[in-house]
Formats: sequence, C-alpha cells, structure tokens
Amino acid sequence: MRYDDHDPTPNDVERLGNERVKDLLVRLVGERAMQRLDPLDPGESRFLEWCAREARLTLSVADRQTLERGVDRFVREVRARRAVQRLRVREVPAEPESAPAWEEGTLSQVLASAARARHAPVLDLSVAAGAGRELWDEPCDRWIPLPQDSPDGRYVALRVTGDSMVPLLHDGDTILVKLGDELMPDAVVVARVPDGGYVVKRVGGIVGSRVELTSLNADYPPIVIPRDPSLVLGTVLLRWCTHGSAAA
Amino acid sequence: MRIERRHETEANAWTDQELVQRMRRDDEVAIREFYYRFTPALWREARRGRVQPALRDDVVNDCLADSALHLMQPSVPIPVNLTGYVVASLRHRLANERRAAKRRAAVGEAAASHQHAERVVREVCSEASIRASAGPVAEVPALSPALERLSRIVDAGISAEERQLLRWVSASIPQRLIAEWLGITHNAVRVRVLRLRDRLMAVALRDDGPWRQGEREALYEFFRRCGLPERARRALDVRRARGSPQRGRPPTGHPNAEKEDQ
Repeated sequence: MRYDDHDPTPNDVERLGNERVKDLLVRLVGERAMQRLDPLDPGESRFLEWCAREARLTLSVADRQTLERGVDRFVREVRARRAVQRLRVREVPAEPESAPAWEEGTLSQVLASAARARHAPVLDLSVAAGAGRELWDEPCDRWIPLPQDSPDGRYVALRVTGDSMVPLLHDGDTILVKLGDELMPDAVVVARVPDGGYVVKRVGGIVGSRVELTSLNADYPPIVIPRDPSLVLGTVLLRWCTHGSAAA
Repeated sequence: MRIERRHETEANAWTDQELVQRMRRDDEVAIREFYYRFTPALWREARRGRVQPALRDDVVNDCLADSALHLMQPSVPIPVNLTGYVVASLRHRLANERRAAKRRAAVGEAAASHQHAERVVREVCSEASIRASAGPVAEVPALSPALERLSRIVDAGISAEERQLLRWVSASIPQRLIAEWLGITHNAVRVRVLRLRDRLMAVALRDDGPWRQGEREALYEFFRRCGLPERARRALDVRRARGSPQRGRPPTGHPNAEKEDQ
C-alpha cells in the first residue's frame, strides 16, 4: 500500500497547517536571529565561513557576472590605494588658506622672501605646460602659510590638473613641494619633462643615468627622463585634498 | 586564461591566514581570491541590512577594499575569524550610515518646522534628491509592524542556544553538519530542531504576551492566511474569551515540547 494514496484527513490538514506556520516562524525569527549574531564571536566562525562558502557557490548567473566584472576594478583600486599609503604624502582634508602676496614678482624673485616669511607662493602647474615656459618666470600673486611642523626651506604650492595620480591627487588639489630635495625611490616629485612641461609623478626607479616616473592611474604609461637635478623641481610633502577619504 | 584559472583554484584552498599573508606580499591572485571569497557573503549581508540594490556593489566594494588595505598592513594582527571581521566591518559601516541618515533627517525636520523654511525645502529639493540624502540604507521597514513585533516577542522568548540553532536552521545548514559542530548525534539534532519549532509556535501563540491594541487580531488574520488550522485558532479564541492568564500550549505540538514547558 502506498501512503500517499488516501485522501487527506482533517488531522493531516491540521498538521500541514501547523508545519507551514512553523516554517514561517523559523524564517521570520531566523532573520532577526541573524541580525542579532555577533560576527566577531569566535564560536560563530565556522557558521560564518560556511555561509560565505555557500553564498559563493549559490550565486545567481547575473551576480556571478557582476562578480567577474568587478574583480579587476577591485584589484586596481586596492593596489592604487596601497601605493598611496606607501607614498607618505600627508593629507590635509581642506582647501589651503591663501593670502595676497606680500611682494609682487615672478616666482624666482619672491621665493627667497616667501621662505623667510615661512610662506609658499601658489601657482597653477598647468601654466607652465607650454614648451619653453619656465615655472620660475611665472608671476604669483598669492601665498600660502607653511604648516607649523614643516622644516625650513624653500617651498612652492602648486595646483594640480589631470587625473594621472588618482587616487593620491585629484584635479584641482593643491600640493606643497619642497624644492631641491634629493631624489628617492617611491617619492612623489614634480619634474620637468624635456619636451612636455611639468608633471607630478612617483619615482618608480632610478637606473644608472635614467629615472622612471610612473603614474598611479594605470591608464598613463611611465615616463623616462635623464637623471639631471635641474629637471626635478622638488618633492611633494603635503596635499590639500577635499575629495573625501577615498585615498586615506 | 587557463593558467589564471589554475591559480584561482589553488587559491580556493588557502586558509584565511595564508590568504592575508600572501596579500601582504602584494600577490594579485590573493587579492582576487579575497574579493571572490567575501563579496557574495557581503552581498547577502547588505541585503539583510536593507542596502538599496542599486548601491549594493559600491557599498560592498568600498567596505571590502578598506578591510583589505587594513589587513595588508604588516603591523595589524590577522583576525582569527576573518569572515566575521569582514562582515562586522560592513555592519559597522551600515550602522554609521543609518546614524548619519537620522542626523540628516533631524536637521531637515528642524528646517521644515521653521516658518518659511518648509516651503523653501519643498521647492528646492526634488523627490530624488530627498531620497538620495537618505543614504544607501533604505529606511523602509522590512516587515509589517505586527510581524516585526511578533518576531521581536518570539525572539525574546527563546534562549541563546535556541537562537543559535535557529540561525543555523534558517540558513539551511544540513543537520548532519550541525551534529558535527555540536558534537552530538544526528538524531539528537533532529529532536532539537523539532522542539525548537514547537517552542516558536508556543511562544507565538501565547495569549498573555505583551501585545498592543489590535496586534493580536492582525496576527490571527496572518495565521489564518498561513493556514493555521481552525481548531487551533478556536482554542485560542476560547482561551482569549476566558481571559485566562495561563500560558498557551502549542495546539498540536511535539510531545517533547510539553516536557520542556513543565
């Protein structure tokens, strides 16, 4: 005799109804129990690992595609932000407070007096983009006071354009450059490319008489310049960046 | 491509500790594996935390990248329970978002209560901008108020062990695995699960629960729609009419549930 042959009796209906309500209660209260779970409880580690494995194995087709699409972006983002952490360029999450210059003139004329007053003249990095134009000959009418803890020396503040150093520097950020610092690997420097104006780049490597300058944004290829002190303006020590903590 | 796949299959077998060690050495395969290993779990957690579906990928990616960067610092000790660590970081992030949304809402209300400001807010803010200002976590409740309260009351009526078992059961973990984790036999787990289900029912149908006006009726209606048998509901109605303060029994419970109540 087969057990599922007979018509359901009132008892069967009752039992089924009860079981259905219990199923619902398990789902309803189970969800709350999941919310009350303390993920850091060591007793729950096996359970959470099981859940993570299960979630990975039972992905829908659409989610699997999303996962595959996102992995390269994730790796790029993690690496770029790791590079930023290593670069040791301090971040000030605000706009710099610039004031009118105490002295009129080109950068080369006012640099010494600005350094004595512990200020840095501000310039747009893009103004000297044209071939043959020197940053030193640009007039600057605003100065930025140096942060308290910065060592004495000659500084210049530059407004950045372009996205080659994202996530370290964004379009419109201001950087503080200490002039004439020694070239170190992994430092961020402002350098003059012989036929392409001034650039902000990371020192990727120094090989013999050549210096490789790399961007943090993988879309930009590295640049190789001769190892000539006159081509390197200085090292970036600080950035005024208002683009959130994306690079923190 | 084939070589990459082979690496990823190997990476699948790495322990969490090994994975983080390799990430610290800037191994790309390890970073990929970290993403593959934890993103699906965080997607589930995000759905549980009621993150808006359109923003899910961004929220999870940001959180996972933050965790990865933190773990990749050599001075940071590697957590024993890495999955728990990652899930906890997403939960904290969502809790912060919720607090921020509440603050923004409070500021909005304060502005709206001002004499002319309400008109200004209405004119200046579009529906989309108001929704966007709520942040990635939706403020709509997941359940109807009566069910929300039912789940809270039933949750308060069960013990920590029962809650743990309930989590495992509702996550569809095989009973054999639960038996292995608890170090008991499969049959013992089966009995515990049956008892737990009866216990939930008993707590849910308890008449002297701290119900508010109208909630009991809403729940009767809910149970009726779920198919709770007429006889059980009649028994409840009789008890209610008597105004009996005694605890309700499950209508057709497992015999073990009776024992537990005594």
